[in-house]
Amino acid sequence: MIHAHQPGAQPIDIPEVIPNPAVVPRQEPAPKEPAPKNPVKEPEKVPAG
Amino acid sequence: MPCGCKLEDLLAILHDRAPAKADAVALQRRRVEHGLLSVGIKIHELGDGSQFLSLVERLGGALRVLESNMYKHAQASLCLVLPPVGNARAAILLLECIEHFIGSTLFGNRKIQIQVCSPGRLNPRRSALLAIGFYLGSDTLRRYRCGDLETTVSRDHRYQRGQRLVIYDAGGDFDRGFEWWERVGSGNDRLIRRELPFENGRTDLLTGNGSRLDIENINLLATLLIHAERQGYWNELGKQFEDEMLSLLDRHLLAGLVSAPWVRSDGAEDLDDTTFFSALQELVAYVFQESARVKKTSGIHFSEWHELPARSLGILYEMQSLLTKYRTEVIRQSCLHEHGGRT
Repeated sequence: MIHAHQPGAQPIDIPEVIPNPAVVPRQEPAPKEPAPKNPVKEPEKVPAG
Repeated sequence: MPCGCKLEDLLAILHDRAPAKADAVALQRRRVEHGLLSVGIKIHELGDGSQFLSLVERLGGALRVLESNMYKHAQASLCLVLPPVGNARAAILLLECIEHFIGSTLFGNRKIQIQVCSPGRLNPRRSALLAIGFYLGSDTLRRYRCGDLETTVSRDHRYQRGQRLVIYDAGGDFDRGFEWWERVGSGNDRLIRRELPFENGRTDLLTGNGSRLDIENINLLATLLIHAERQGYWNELGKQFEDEMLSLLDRHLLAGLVSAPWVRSDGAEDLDDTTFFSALQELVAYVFQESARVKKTSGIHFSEWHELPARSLGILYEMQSLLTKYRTEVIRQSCLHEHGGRT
C-alpha cells in the first residue's frame, strides 16, 4: 500500500495491486493428489486357545 | 544461464508429495501444444528462502542449484531456475508440484516473483507489445515503484539489463529440443521441426506475483510475436495480432508507448531507466483510471454488461477480447490441421 500524505489532510491509501475488472476469476480445480496413505495396521494378535 | 537442476531429478523429488502432477509433467514435458512456444520459469523468492531449503538440499545443495547462477531479483534471497517444458500447462503443473512440496503458494504470492522465459529474442518493438499485452491482460493490475524491477544484472558491468519488465537472456544453457512449426509449399502445409530454430536467445518477462493466466497469456503473446519475427507457422496471425494491438493502443492514445525502451539490448549506450519507467507509469495510470471508471459504471446489470461490445467497455476488455480471439484462432487452425484440413 502506498500512503500519500499531505499535512492537514486525511491520508490517502493507494493500492499497489487491484484485480483486473475485465478478467473473470477462474475456479481453480481442487487438488487431485491422492491423500497420504494411513499406515497399515497389523491385526492385533489374539492368544490362541 | 545454467539451470539449477535436471527435470528428471526435480520430478523424482516432487513425486514424493505430488505424484499425480509430477507424473503428468513427466508425460508432457516435451509436448508442444498448437505450435506454441516452450516455457521456462524462474522463481525469485523475496522472503528468507527457508521454505525452499529442503528442496534445494535434495537437489544437491545451494552451491550446485543456486550459486551457479548469479542472476536474481535484487531483493531475492534465491532464484530457482526451472528446466523448460513444452507447454504452459506443464509449466503451471510443475509450479503446482513445487507448491505441494514446499507447502506454500507460488501463484499470487507477494513474496514470490515469477519470471516467464520464452525462446527467441523479440526485437524492441515486439518486446514492448509483449510487456504491454501481459500488463493489460493480467488478472492483477500492478503499480511499480522504482527498484521493483532491479535485478543483479541491472547495472553490472557485463550485462547492464537495466530495470525492465522484459529481459533478454544472458547466454548460457539453452534447450532447443522442442518442436517448431513452419508453413511450407504454398503456405497451406505444416512442417514440424524437431528443434527450435534459435541456437540460443530468450525473451523473459518479470511478472511480479504472477498467476496461471499470466503464464498462459505470455506464452500466447510470445508465440505470436516470435512467429511474426521468424516467419514461423503463426507468422500471419502474429502480424495480424500486432496490427490489432497497435490500433487498440492508438485508439487509447497510447501508441507512443511502444517506442519506449521496454528492453535493454546488448551494447545499448543509454543506461537510463527513466524513459522506460515513464512509459510504464503512463500505462499504469491509464489502466488504474480505467479500472475506476469501470467500477463506477458497473451498475449495469451483469448480463447486459457482457452483451456490450468490448470496444465500448474500455482497454482492459478490449485486451481480453483480443487474447480470447487469438487463443481461439490458434486452437481452431491447429485442430483443423489435426483433422486433415488445411489452414
